[in-house]
Amino acid sequence: MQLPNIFNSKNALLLQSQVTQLLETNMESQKYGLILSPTGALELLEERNIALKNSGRLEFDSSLTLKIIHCFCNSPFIQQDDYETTLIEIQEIFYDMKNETEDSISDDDLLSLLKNFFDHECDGDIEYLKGKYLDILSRNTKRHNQTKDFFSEERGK
Amino acid sequence: MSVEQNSSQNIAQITNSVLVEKTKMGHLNQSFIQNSQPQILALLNSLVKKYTQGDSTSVRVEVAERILISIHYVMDNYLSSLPSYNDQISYLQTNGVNGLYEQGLEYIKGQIVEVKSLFSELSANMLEVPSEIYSDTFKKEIPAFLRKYNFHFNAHDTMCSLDYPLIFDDMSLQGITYIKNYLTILKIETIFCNLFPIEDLNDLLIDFGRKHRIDIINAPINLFELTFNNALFSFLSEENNLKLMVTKSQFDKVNELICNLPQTEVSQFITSTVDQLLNLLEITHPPLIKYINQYTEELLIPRILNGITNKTLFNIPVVKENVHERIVFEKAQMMDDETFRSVIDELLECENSEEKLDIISNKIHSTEDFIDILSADCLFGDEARDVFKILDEIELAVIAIIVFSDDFSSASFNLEYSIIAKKILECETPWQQEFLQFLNASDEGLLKVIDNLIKKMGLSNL
Repeated sequence: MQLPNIFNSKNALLLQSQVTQLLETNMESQKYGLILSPTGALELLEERNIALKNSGRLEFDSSLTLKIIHCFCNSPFIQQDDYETTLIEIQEIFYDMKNETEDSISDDDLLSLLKNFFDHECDGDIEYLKGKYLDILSRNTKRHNQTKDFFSEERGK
Repeated sequence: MSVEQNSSQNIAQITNSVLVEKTKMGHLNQSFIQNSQPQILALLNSLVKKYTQGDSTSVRVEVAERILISIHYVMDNYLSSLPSYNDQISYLQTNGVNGLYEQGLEYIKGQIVEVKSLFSELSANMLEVPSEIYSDTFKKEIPAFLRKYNFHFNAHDTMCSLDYPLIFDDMSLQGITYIKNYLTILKIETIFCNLFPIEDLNDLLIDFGRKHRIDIINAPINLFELTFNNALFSFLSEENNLKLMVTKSQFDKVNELICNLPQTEVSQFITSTVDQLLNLLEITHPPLIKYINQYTEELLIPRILNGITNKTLFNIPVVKENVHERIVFEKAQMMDDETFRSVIDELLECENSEEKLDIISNKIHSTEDFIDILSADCLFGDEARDVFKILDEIELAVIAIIVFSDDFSSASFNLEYSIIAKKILECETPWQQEFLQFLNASDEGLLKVIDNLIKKMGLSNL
């Protein structure tokens, strides 16, 4: 097959450009005492690929990772020591939740919901966020979608 | 997985585009495909953005794969419309992937317009027949396709379930091309069927259902095949008026005519008869002529040859039953469950066979109840056979129709000892075994009477 060869040859350059983009977020995050290291940025991108693979999703650029950083860097519950780990976990949760909510919530709305739960309901406790609020969000969204589907099918009859 | 890294392998695996194929075959050079693949991925990227309406940067892999297949469908669909292989290569090299895709979309839009026009023409000429599968094609399935078809993200998806069978249906096609082809063929078949009065076609359909004991409303029956076969047999019988109805005497005449031909001349004889039929019906529509010739050559002639060999020509046309001699069997009211249970209790309490026979004679009035009694394990030893002895010939014929229901597909069915003996070996239901043993022990005169009654009652009577 030709495709892997064609695209793999560009991967190194592409990755370098993405790392640079992520490091540029330090301009904003350092206001909150948070700095992403080049190694951390690379790891965040590598973990993004793993999260995408595990959740069975495809993404054409790394803009979502940038959005996560912009959204979460002002959280009072994130310290420099756990900054990179938290970003990796939020990233993983995000893709899972896209699936769990059946793609019916936009990226911006989902990030906003996650941030709200993280800051105001869970005091920055990721495990609590995963174990309680995300389950509720997922169930409510699925129920809402089923109701919507049911009524649209009824109308279609 | 990200497109930049892991998924390129995945996308490559589902790619079956003309690009890859033609490169493999040496018609396009390596650099062309190296330039084309990023363009396809860029196209995919832009369509995914349209799909998510900018709400999401990621999609499920299945969604991306589906859109990629759709992209290839749009391109391949247009390329396959070009007259030659060289034209395809030349178009690709001149216009590139993006040009091809844009042209492909325009081509599909044109196909949609054609399909709508074809559908509207067909709807105006649709046959008024009591077939739900046929009418659903017009009232539900095609309208649903036209409503839902999305050539941006799902161009390859046929999106509806067309259960009405065509004689020649190209199932290798997909999406709008499949629908266009389906409607084109349906139009050809409908033109032929519309050459005959709709009442005759309806009678034919009803007779077909009666012959094969099927529910014509919900069964996938091709109307062209029914119409054509009967028209041909009617024509072959050399009656003055060409009709769809083929009587037993007409069939016998055609059967004798065909079976007496030397095997080597049958094909030629059928082909020339079909030509004469086309002339008589004044068929000049070239696609219909081509379709009929294809049907004759590929399906009908082999079936007739097979029918001659196996003596099953009777199954090709629908032969009209003699309605004047038909006995109509009216169903009696079945007992309610409680009454039925009380009859069973009474039977089980009986001390001798005579009492049981009295109860059955006086209280059982419907075939269903009678069969349920026979199946209820309340008759022992020879009692079942004693019950059959008190039935009159018509009642025995009704039971025989039930027991031999699987054997009636052959019109040559006759109630003879050999058939009964064969059935005894196959049959596993105890009361049916008893009935078959009863018939086997009956005299030939009774069998002939029952056989005659079965034929007069019509097999779909129950």
